Amino acid sequence: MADPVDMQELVARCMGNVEFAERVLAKFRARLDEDLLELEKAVRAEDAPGIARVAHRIKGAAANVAAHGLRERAAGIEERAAAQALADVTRLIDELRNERLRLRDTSSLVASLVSASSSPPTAG
Amino acid sequence: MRVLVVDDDGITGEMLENSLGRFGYEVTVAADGKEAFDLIRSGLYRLVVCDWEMPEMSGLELCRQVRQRRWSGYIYVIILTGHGGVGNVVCGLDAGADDYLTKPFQPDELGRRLRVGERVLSLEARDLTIFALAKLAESRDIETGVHLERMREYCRILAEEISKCEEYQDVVDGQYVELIYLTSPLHDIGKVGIPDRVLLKPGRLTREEFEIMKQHTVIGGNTLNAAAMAHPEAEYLLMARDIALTHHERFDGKGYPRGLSGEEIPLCGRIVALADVYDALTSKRIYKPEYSHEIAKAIIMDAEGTQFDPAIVSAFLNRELDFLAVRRQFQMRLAAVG
Repeated sequence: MADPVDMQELVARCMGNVEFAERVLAKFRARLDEDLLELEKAVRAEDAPGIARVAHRIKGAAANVAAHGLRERAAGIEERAAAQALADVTRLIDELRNERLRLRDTSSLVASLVSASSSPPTAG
Repeated sequence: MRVLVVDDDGITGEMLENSLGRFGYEVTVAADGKEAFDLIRSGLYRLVVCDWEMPEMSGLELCRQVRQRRWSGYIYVIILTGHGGVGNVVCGLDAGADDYLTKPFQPDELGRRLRVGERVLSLEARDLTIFALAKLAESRDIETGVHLERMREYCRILAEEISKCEEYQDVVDGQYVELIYLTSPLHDIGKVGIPDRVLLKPGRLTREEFEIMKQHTVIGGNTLNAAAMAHPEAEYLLMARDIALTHHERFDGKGYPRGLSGEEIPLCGRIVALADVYDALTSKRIYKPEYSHEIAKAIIMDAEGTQFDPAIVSAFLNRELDFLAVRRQFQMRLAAVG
């Protein structure tokens, strides 16, 4: 299974600043929790435009932090909400939550990136 | 240079601030279109990177509002959004955006797109600077008014007409037409180097004074040539130099400063020569009344092949109605101002 965040891509987008990338991820996690609550509220109210709006916001932010699994699922929710086809949305929100759980601790990803960038090049 | 980033997602705003800051931009982040519009009104921002979906005012609505108003300078807007697809791109550009990118942004690409925006803005600055310089030189002259404004319109009309001639099709294209419109107001810039006692003398000039006056072509030509040599990539400076130096040459070789004849005179100089004289003839001057279009036309036709290139006279005759329209348009504008 692919990593929840492509750290190399994220760090490149942060102009090589690993610390900044970590801060961004922490903020993203906090924001995502709020967005998920808002999304579920909109689903309960069967508010398709509201679902599409929140999903679009998650999709944009996830794309920028290189959380591709999250981005794909948010895009799926946005598409369905825009088409007023909400039958499948709950399943996708569950998947979104699972992706969120995988984001719980990205410190190992950051550590591997730091060690990869600081280790000497291998011979041959 | 300042960049205004507009995004309701604070994380994206922060990432853009970080990237663009590394490229040397001074970044301000606004959370929606309304806040951005107020910031743009401050006059501090001419480069804007803007999300589409935002509360209060969307990015597209911001573009529309920006384009509806007159600003002191152009505002260059890049839409950066999660909405992909050709239909959305068309929609964004229709709303008035200059460029369109989809998220996730790539810092290098965004940086280069902003450089394009800077180049567009610098072209506008160049055009305004050239015209301001020309107006400054003209302000020393007694004959002010809107001579430069009218003359560049006449030049554009003549160049457009000349572009239809088979002989000039390879030389005169849309770019040439725009360049002559841009640079023709600089034709008399050398007058800044003519002493007041000659330039502002109300009566007829003596032979010696006229020789001094003729030097305005050389002064203007040399000044613009020095600038052209320092910036060889700036094609407009070469045309400006040729115009300043040769707009008093005559087709029969009896003009000044060098007595060039026929096609020795650059085409732009031959075009400006006719436009300049037509405007002088149809304007009131201290030493002469305002002539009608018919009289001016007769004088120009009489000078065909002597003072003026027959091809330019022919272009003038083909487009005389457009000359009249320009003249009327400026007469009405002056009357409205009072």
